[in-house]
Amino acid sequence: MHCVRKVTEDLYWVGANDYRTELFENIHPIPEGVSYNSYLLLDEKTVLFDCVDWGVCRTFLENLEYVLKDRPLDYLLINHMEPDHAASIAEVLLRHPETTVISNEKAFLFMRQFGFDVEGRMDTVKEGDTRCFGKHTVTFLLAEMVHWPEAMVTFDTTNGVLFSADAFGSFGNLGGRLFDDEVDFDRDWIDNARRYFTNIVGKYGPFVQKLLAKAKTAPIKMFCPLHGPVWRTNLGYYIDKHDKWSRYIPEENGVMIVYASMYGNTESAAQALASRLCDKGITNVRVYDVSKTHASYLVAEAFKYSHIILASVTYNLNIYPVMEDFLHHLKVLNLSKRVFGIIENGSWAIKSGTLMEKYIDENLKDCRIINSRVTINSSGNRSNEIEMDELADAIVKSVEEEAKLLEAGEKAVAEAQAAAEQKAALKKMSAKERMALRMKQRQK
Amino acid sequence: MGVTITNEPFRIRGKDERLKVIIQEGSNEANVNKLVEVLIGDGFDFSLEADMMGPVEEAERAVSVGMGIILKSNMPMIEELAKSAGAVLACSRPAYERIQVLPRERFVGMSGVKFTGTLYFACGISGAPQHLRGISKAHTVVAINKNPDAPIFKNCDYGIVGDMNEIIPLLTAKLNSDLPKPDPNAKPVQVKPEEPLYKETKATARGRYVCPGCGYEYDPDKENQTAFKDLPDSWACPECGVPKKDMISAVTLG
Ligand SMILES: Cc1cc2nc3c(=O)[nH]c(=O)nc-3n(C[C@H](O)[C@H](O)[C@H](O)COP(=O)(O)O)c2cc1C
Ligand SMILES: [Fe+2]
Ligand SMILES: [Fe+2]
Repeated sequence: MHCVRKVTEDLYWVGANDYRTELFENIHPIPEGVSYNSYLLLDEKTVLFDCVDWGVCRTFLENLEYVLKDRPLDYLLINHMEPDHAASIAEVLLRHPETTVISNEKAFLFMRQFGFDVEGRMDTVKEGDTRCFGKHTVTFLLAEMVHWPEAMVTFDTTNGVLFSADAFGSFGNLGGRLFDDEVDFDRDWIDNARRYFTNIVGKYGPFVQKLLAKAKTAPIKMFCPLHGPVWRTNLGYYIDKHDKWSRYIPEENGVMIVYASMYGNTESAAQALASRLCDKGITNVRVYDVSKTHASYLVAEAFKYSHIILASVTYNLNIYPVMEDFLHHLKVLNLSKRVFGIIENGSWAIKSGTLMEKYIDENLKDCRIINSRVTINSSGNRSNEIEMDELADAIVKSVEEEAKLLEAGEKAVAEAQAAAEQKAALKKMSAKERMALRMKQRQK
Repeated sequence: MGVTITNEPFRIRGKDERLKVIIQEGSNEANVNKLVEVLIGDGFDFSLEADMMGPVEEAERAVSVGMGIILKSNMPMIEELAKSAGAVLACSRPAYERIQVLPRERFVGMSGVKFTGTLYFACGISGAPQHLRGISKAHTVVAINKNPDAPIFKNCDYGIVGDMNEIIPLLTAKLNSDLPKPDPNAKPVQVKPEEPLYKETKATARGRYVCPGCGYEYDPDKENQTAFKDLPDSWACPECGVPKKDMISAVTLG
C-alpha cells in the first residue's frame, strides 16, 4: 500500500519509516524509529532525490512507482552515499534502465566501491553547477564531512527547497506527520534531533559551520533532510540549534551529573550533590547512571548542558570501563567548551579522579575542570561532607559565571556573524548600489 | 566547636611543593628552638587557644600522633602539646586501629578525615601514602620522627629527626615559654592565593586544522609544535592526501 505525501505542488515524499531497526548504524538505539526520506520531483523531467535503507526498500519502491505512474524516471540525484540512503540505488537502477544518475565525483567513486553499476549513466557535478529539469533549476553545494566526505546538498533555486542530506535530520519515525508545523518539535522531537546530530555529525562542527555559512547566502524556504520532518515554517529555530551544537555551545546553563557505581556509594554521592545544588537554587540538574544509559543519550545531554560532573569508582586502578567509554565518546565526537567537576571513589587505591582529569585535560578541547574534587574512600564520611559542599559551591559559582560568559559570548558571535554577512552582501552589490547604501548610511 | 584560631593566613600548597627543610642545629633543644623561631617567623601565633577535641576536619591546627607513641598511656604528653600549640588532637590510622589512642573520627588519612588547616604536627607518623592523602591540603606540615628515611620527611615543610618522646616535652615547654608575638607584617605566612575555580585543559582547538576529505585533525602539539601555516605547501593530509590549502581551522566561534 502506498504511503506518500505531497511536499510542494510537484514534489513528493516517497520515503519510508523504519520501526524495526534496533540500532542505527548498529550502535545507537532508536526506540522511536527513524525515517529515510526520499523525494520525487515531477517536472518536465522526473527527478528522485536520494534513496532509502535496504530494509525499507519494498515500501519505497511502491511509493516511487505510485507517484511516477507510467512516467520514466529521468534522473536519480544522490546527495549522500551512506547505505542508510544509498543501499537501494542498485534496485532503482535495475528497474529503471532509463535513469541517469547525477552526483559528484567522490560519490561516484563510493558507488563503485559499494558495487553499484553506474557505468555509462553518470552525470558528474561540481560545487556551483546547475541542472534544469523544466520549471526547476537546482544548484549544488558541497557539504564535505557533514557526515561523509562526499556529502553535498542540492538547492532548488526555483522554489527555495534545500535537499539537505543528513544535515537538519533527526531520529524518530514520522507517523504521517511530515512538516515541522504538524508536530510539536520542541516538545516531541528535539531530544531525538539532538541525539541524532551530536552522535552522527557532532565531531564535524567546523564543517557544519562552513555549510551553515554557505546556506545563509541562499534564499532557503524549506529543508528536505534525509531523516525526520521537513522544515517549512520555523527554520530559524532549527538553524539556531545546529549553530549551537556545531560551535559546541551549550543550549542550557545547567548541570549533568553522570555516575559510575557498583555498590551504590558513588551513586549516593551523585544524588547528594544534585540535592545540594537544588537546595542552592540550581535546579536545572540531571542525574544519569552511566551503566544504565546508552552513551548516545549521554552524549546528547553533554552537548545540551554547560556543566558535566563525573562521579566514578576506581576499577582495577582505572576509570570504571563504562565511564571511560562515555569519555571516549565525548572525545571522538569533539565535545568542547564544557566545565567538568570530579567525584572519585575507591577502596584501596583511588585513581579514577586523577585519571578522568587527565583524560579531559588531554582530549577534550577548551574545557575547564573545577578544582574542588570529592575523594571518597568506599563510602562518604564527614570530610566528604565538607568537600561536597565545596564542590557544590564551586558549581553554583561556575553556573553564575557561565551565565554571564555565555550571554556575552553569544552577543559577540552574533555581532561577528552580522558583520561577516554584511561584508558578503556588500561584495555582491554593484559599485553603484554600494555607493547608494553608503550615502544612505551617512544621511542617517 | 571550640576552634578559636581563624586569623591565620592560608596558603594552598600541594604535597609536592612542601619545603622539606630538615632542622639540624645539633641538640634536640636547639632544633626545637629553631623550629619555634621559624614558625613564629612564618606568622604563627602560639598564644591562641583551641578546644583540642574540636572536629579535625574543621580545625586550624592539629597535633597528630602515630605509632611512634608506642603506648596509649603516653597520650598526656601529646595533649599537653596540643594545648600549648592551640591545636586539636588527631592520629594516624594505625595509631587508631592498633592502640586506639583516639576515637575513629580523629584519624587522618585517605579513609579517615582530611585535615585542611594551617599547621599539622606529625609526631611519630611515618607518612604512608594513605596518610598523606589526608593532609595534602594542610598549609604547614611539621614532622618529628626518629627514622631519617621516613617518607614523612619528603612530605613535610619542617622536620626534626629524633625521638618524639624526648622532643615533644621540649617543644611543649618552648611553646609555653614567653614567646615573641609574630609581627604579621614582618614575614607573614605567604598570602593565601585565592584557589582558582578551574584548571583549563591542555587540549584546544586553537592551532588545529581539519581535513574535508576524511576529518583528520592536524595538532601542532603532536607535530613538534610546527604551526600549520609553517608546513610546506606540498604538505598533504596523511590519511587521504587532501592538499594543505583545503584544510580548515578547527576553531569554532564562541
Ligand atoms: C573489579 C573491581 C576492581 C576494583 N579496583 C579498585 C582499585 O583499583 N582501586 C580501588 O581503590 N578500589 C577498587 N575497587 C573497589 C571499588 O572502587 C570500591 O569498592 C568503591 O569504593 C565503592 O563504590 P560504589 O559503592 O559506588 O561502587 C574495585 C572493585 C571491583 C569490583
Ligand atoms: Fe549519513
Ligand atoms: Fe543518514
